[in-house]
Order: sequence, then C-alpha cells, then structure tokens
Amino acid sequence: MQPPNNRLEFNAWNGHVVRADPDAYLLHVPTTAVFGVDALGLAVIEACRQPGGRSVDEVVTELADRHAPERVRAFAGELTQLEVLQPAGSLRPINPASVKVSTYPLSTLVLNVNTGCNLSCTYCYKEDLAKPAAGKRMDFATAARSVDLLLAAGATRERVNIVFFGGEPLTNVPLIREVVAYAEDAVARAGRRIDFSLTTNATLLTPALIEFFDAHRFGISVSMDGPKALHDRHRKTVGGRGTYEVVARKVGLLLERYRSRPVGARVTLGAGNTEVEAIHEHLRTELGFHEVGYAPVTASDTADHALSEAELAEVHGAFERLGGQYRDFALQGRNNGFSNMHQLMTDLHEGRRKSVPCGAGIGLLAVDGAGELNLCHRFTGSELPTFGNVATGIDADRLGAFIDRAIDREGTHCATCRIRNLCAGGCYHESYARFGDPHHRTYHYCDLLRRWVDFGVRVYADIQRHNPDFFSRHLEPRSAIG
Amino acid sequence: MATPKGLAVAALLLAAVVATMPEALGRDLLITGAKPDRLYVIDPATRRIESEFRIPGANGLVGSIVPSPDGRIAYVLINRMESIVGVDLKSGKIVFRADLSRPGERVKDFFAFAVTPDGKELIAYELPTLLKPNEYQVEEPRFAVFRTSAGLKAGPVRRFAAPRRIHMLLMRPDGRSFYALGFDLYEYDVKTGKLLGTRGIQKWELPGHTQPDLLAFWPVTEPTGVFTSPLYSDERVGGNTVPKTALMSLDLASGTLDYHDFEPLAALIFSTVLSPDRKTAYGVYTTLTRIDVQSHALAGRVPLDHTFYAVNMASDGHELYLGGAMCDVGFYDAATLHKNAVLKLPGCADQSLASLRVIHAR
Amino acid sequence: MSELKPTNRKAELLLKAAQDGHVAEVVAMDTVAGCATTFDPGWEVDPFGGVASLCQPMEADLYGCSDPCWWPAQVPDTMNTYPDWDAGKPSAQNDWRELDAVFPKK
Repeated sequence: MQPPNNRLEFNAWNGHVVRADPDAYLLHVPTTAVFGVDALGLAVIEACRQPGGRSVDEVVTELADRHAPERVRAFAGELTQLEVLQPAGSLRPINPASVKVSTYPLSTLVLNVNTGCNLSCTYCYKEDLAKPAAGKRMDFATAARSVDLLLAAGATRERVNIVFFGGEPLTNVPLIREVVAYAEDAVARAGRRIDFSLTTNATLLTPALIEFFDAHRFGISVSMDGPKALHDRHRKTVGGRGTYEVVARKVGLLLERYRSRPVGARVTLGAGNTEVEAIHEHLRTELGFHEVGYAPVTASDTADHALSEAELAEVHGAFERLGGQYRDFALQGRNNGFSNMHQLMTDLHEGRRKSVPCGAGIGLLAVDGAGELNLCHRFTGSELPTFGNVATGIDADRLGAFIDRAIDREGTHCATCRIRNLCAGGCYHESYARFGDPHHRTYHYCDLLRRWVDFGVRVYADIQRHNPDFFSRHLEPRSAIG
Repeated sequence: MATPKGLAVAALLLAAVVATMPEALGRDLLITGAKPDRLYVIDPATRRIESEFRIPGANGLVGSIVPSPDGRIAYVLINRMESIVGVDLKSGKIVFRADLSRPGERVKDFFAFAVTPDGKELIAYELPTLLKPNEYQVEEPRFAVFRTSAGLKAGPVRRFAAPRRIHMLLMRPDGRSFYALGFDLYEYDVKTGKLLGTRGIQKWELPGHTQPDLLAFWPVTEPTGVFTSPLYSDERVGGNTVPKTALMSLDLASGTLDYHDFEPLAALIFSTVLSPDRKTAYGVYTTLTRIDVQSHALAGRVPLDHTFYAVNMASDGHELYLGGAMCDVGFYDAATLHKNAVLKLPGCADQSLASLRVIHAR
Repeated sequence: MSELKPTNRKAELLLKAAQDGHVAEVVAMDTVAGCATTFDPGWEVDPFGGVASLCQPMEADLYGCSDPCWWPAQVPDTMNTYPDWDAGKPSAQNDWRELDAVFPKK
C-alpha cells in the first residue's frame, strides 16, 4: 500500500549492493539472483536511500540531467517488483513462508560404523569417541535395516547415497564390505543406483582397501590438516604423537591408484593453523588432492584448539587470497581446488536460496550403532534426542517440528540479514556445540560470512564476465543431498 | 622435670592458650551467596546449610561479602554493584542498606568495601557516572564512609578522593587506615582520607621481573589476618622471559608486603588462603594448589571437579572450603587435598562472584 | 530489455518471471544443499570440540564473568542495560539453554 506521498525507500534487507569498482552488483536477497547495476541503477538506489525515501517522480527530477526519465522509471519499477524498493516507512524483509515439511525424501544415510577411532585429534567433536576396540560397532542387522529405510524413504530418488563415518570407519571394514554387498544387491533388484562415500583419517588404508573402494566407486574424503608441522599440531594418536608421516604415505598410495572418483581433503583449521595458502599448496599441488575444503574451528572460541578471533580473521583473509587465486585459475578455465570457494560459486551460479542451512533431517539422516536416526553424522552420540529408529521408521512429527523451527526466522537477526538465504542460520551442530541449541543462530561469525559472500559476488561476476564457460564446465552437483 | 609449681604454671599457660584457640571463639561458620538473591550460612562440621536468607532487591547479583568483626552481620554487595546491605545472620533481617546511586547519578562499587574493626563504619568505593540527558559523564572515583547504624537509607558521612581501578579494600586491625588494592597498593587514613603511602604492584620493581598482574576479588583475610593472592609476572632468564606464578601476601597488622615466585606458570589460580601456622597457602581455580610458603615452592596440586573461584580455611587449618562460580561448596582435607564432601546449594544456583567467608558462631 | 543485468541464471529467471507476473513463484524456489558450517568447505566439515575452556566447564564462568561485565562483547550487559537477562536462570549449568540473545526494543 502506497503512502499518500508515494515515496519509496531502498530496503537493504532485500537488496544488497556489492561494489566492484568500476562495476556494481545487486544481490537480490530473497532469490539469490545477482544483477549487474550501472550508474543509473546506483543513482536511483542512492536517491531512495535518503531518509524518508523518494517518489519515482522525485527521483526522475533529481536525475534528469544525467539519466533519461524512462530508464529511471523502468529501473524503479523493476526494483519495486523485486521488493527492493518498498513504500517508505513500511519496509519488510521477504522471507520464505512457513513450509510444513511432511515428507522426507531421503537421499543420504550416514552410517556410524564404529564410534571407535585410532586417533585422538584435539578438536574432534564426537561426544562418543572411543578407542577402536572399545567403540560401539554397528551390527549388520542395523546396517541392513538402514539400507532398507533409505531405499524406502528415498523411493522417489533414482540415486541414493550411503556414507560411512565414525569414529574412524576403517576400524570396521568388515561391516563396510557387508553393507556394500547388501546395498548393491538391493538396488540392482530395484533398478536404482547407489553411491558410497567415506571420510577417513587415512592411517588404516591398505592397497587392498584402496582397490576395493575404487572398484565400488567410493567418494573418498581424507581428513588432513596440511604439511607436517600443521597436521601434527592437532591430528595426533591417542599417545599424543603426530600422524603426518603415516597419513602422507597412505595418501600417496591412494592418490596414485585411485581412478573412479576425485579424492578430496578436508582440513580443520584449529588454533595455530591459519596458513591456508601453504596448506593448499601442500595438499593440492604437492600431494595431488583434487580439491581441498577448509573448516575453521568456530564452535568454541575458548577451547585450546579453537581459533581465536584474530586467527579467524586471518583465516578469512587467507580465504580471500586463495579465492583470488581461484578466480585467476577460473579465468584460464581451471579449478584451483579450493572447495569453499567452489561451493560459494556454485551457490551463486545456481542462485541457491536456502530456507534451512543444510540437508540434515530433510535429505540426510545419520544412523548410530543403536539404529537411532540422528539429524546428521555429527550428532550421533550426542545428547540431542533422535528422530526415530531404522527398525521403527522416521519420527516424522518430531523431525517436521525441528525443521519448521529451523525455517522460522522470526525474532532472530537472520530475519533481515542479507545472506540469510545462503547461510540460513548456520550448521545445527555448530550451534548445538557452541550454544547448546541446534536452532541457535551462528551469530559468532556473521560479519565474516557476510564479507565472504560479498567477496564471492565480486569474483563470481568477474568470472561470468571474462570466462562464463567456466561454470558450465566445472560446476558439479553439490554434495549428496538436494 | 615438672615441679608442682611448674605444672601449675604450665596449666595456666595451657589455659591461656586454650582461651585463644579458635574453639573459644565459637565454631566456624561459612557464609556464601548465590544468585539471584541468596545468602547462606553453612555449618562446615555437618556440611549443612543452617540458614538461607533472601536479600530483597538484590537484582540478580550477590557479590563481595564482608562480615562484621563480631560475626553478627554480613555486609553484601548487591544490585548490580550499586548497593550494599547488612544482613543479620541470626534473623536474616536487613539491618543496613546503602544505595550508592541517586537519580541522575549511577554509582557502582566494583567489589571493594570494608568494615572498621569496631564495626561502626563501612567504607565503600564509588565509581560514579552522571547520566545527563545526552551523554554520560564519568566522574572521579571516591571512597564513601557510612555509619553501619544508619539503617536502611544510609548516606555517606564522609567522602574522599580515590584512585581509579580499585578492586579491594582491606581494613587494618588498628582501625586507623585501610589498604586499597588497584594499580598499586595504597594506604588511606580512615578519618581524613589522606593517602598515607603507595607501594608497588604495577610500580613494583622486582629485580628481573616484568610488571606483575594481579586479579584479586576475593577479600579473604581469615584465619590469619594476612591477605594473600596469586600474582603473575614474567621473570627474565637469560635472553628469555619465563612466566611465573607468585604468592603475594599482605600482613594487615604489620603492613609487611611480600611476594615470591613459587612455580613457572602452570595452572591458573584465582584466589588463595593462608593456613593458621602461616606455612602453607592454598589456591583454587580449576585445580587445588598447595604452596609451601617457607620454601616458596609448589607442594601439591589436584584437579577439581570444576572451576571454583573462592577458597577459605577452617580456623584450625584442618579443612579447606571451596566456593564461588558454580553451585556447590567443596570441603577438602588440607593435609591430603582429598575431597571430603560437597554441598550443593538449593536449586543449584550459582555463587558466581560471591565471596566465601568464615566467621565464628556466637 | 531490462535495466537490471542478470549475472546468474536465477537473475534471468527472475526477470522473466517479473515480466510474466510470476515473481512470487521464483521467490518461493528453495534449495536444500550440503553441509553448512563456517565458510562451507563442502562435504565433511570441521570437527570441533567441546567447550574445554579456561573455566571448566564454561558454565562455571558464565555468571562470574557476565555479572561484573567481564565479557562485554560476549553477553548482554547485565550491569546496566539488561539486568534481567539471567532472571530466573540462576544455575548456568542447568539454565544456559534458556539464556537468549537480546534485541533492541523498537
């Protein structure tokens, strides 16, 4: 409804201007559409940012000496349709209407095959971590029921995924072999497809295992933190010794033989480990991982192993530099393997608009040793109540309530944040670890993440302008969900 | 060989000694506070709460506790550090209240206040801010002296200029002056507010050490009348600096200020207490530390179930009391550092910054 | 022809929808994707530990620090502006989940 004076105001909750001099872009927050904006557009926006706003006629008059009136009106009209200009005094953020999730088209189940792990990394978030012999192992019956549940709940999907997790999944290889056999048999009979993935510390890899995984096209992700000094800082044996030597040797074996799918590394940036570029050089260039993803430890800012605020800022700076390298490679049609940047580019390219931060509970669930269904692999063994059991099925009501709550941004800073549809409140487990509440917004890194997205918009636009082919060639479907 | 006369003399001497032993003063009682507005009197012998008092108007904060010298009243900092009340420990009645703020002027007392040895006056430390229509105007800090008989609307009878960043006031036993701990250790005349002397903490020039760091919010001087605290600084060794933990002691009667490193910084300690024989000090935080005061060395350390801020001791030195932070009071054997017992406060309400004090029952 | 220059596909879709009057549908398009922790490294992200902080557990320190405004940036200012932030929650270890962010009152 227009106020009597027809004034419009620029609503920064729905439109965000990113400058990349001499150009500028507008991120349409409700849809993650990215538009290029020229001098006229910027002038109109600036005019409407004035206190009290401006009517279209007033803007036309103000800009008459520089810009044709029809263009001004057209631009203002477009912005109004997009709710980036709204009646002065009645600004409201556009947010997804409450969506009642009632079906759970599972695409992925994570199986915690053993809570035991042969390492004792300082930052491990697993609340139920144990020594391998003392770990809770999943039995085959539970695993088989999990596969059945996945096939049934994911019936609408042609392709489903099983991820083996732990603890360290390679401490329960017999189960993995059994599950692979069972699952492949089941999908073959049903005319569907299944993919397997594994995250491992790599210390227990053998040539035979590598061959087995390759034969069944496992997606493998190795947890490794960089060159020796950095890797050994946090990734230690139970006895406190660094594991770099062993891991590097096994990774060498893996990378020289593995052909079926690209192998990625997952780096945890714990206290003291902020040299992202050096880590990337080592893992990507020297060792040969196809891609490397970096996860800063931010679930606590006071734990010994967590990054300090200053370190997190350093990491962000390094991410921007490595992201700059990503852009340079992209302009030459290559991917530098910086996974975080690649994810962001994909999100922007696809115009991903997220109501929830991830697929946990919607496309993905995790099964613990007791067959209980957890929100995701991080929650197995935690105190968060579970959402059913593979024997009895998904507790649809409780899971639905959980997701509904995650979607509801009312009363939180997320309701108006300009990256709310890319971040969507942050990882549930991170919130749970840091605030005790999986629905708590991850306010502790909001500013950095907003800067990251601004950076991403600039780089994305750059690549689009100079080498748009890059995206069609290099962007693959993201993860195993959605 | 004792003669009958010698025995008689010995008996007299023994009687005299007995008369001054703690038991003659009445049994020990512990005082602690908890959120949002509770004061607890605890019998350490039975590990039970004897009295639970509610302090009206505490407004969520129960902080420093300073008992009156006769042990009848506990003066407590409350109300987001803007008020001090006196709680009668028999009845729980509020017998004194000083609200430091007035309309337009917000005054905070950051932990520090003391009571004169005759119990008649209470000295508070005021940090005033004028709340003007458009701005806050920070004013100079000051000491404010109240008469403890002034009832529930006590106003200061005198005020003196005070330095900034004071966090503890310690009364000297002769009642003529008090110490104020802040950037340095100051001594002030109670009646006139005259600065009688300044000794270093920041200004401390300890040979071969960097400027020390003191965090002292727990005004425990019992059972010896000596205030102790951990103190942190770096010692310059060769071309390096080595962080060291020291024990600082201030004998309130003699005025002797002492400080000795006892270990390279290993475990953080928040507060300490000195044993009655003055040979041993105990410190707490997330470990319980025993310090040999004579040889200036670490003499024991055990981990604690959780962090405690405050430590105190039985008058005869046989047991340690741990409090502050969370909702339980720990009773530890001073000789073995074993945990004897734990008392959980009702509702598991946090003690936070409430002091843990030992008084003697009447 | 549009004044806004679409840079990504969504933008093209949105402009077309604007012309056809279907903006709301495009706004409603939703994606559910991947893992989502800080900076989103992609599948299997950072493990992080429990709150093994200086104070054990962290809750031991919560009120000891917030009461005197020791953590000005971390918690609401209970000294002056939000004295009721911890009202009804005297036990940090039990009540911390109830503690909430504060928002400016309009």
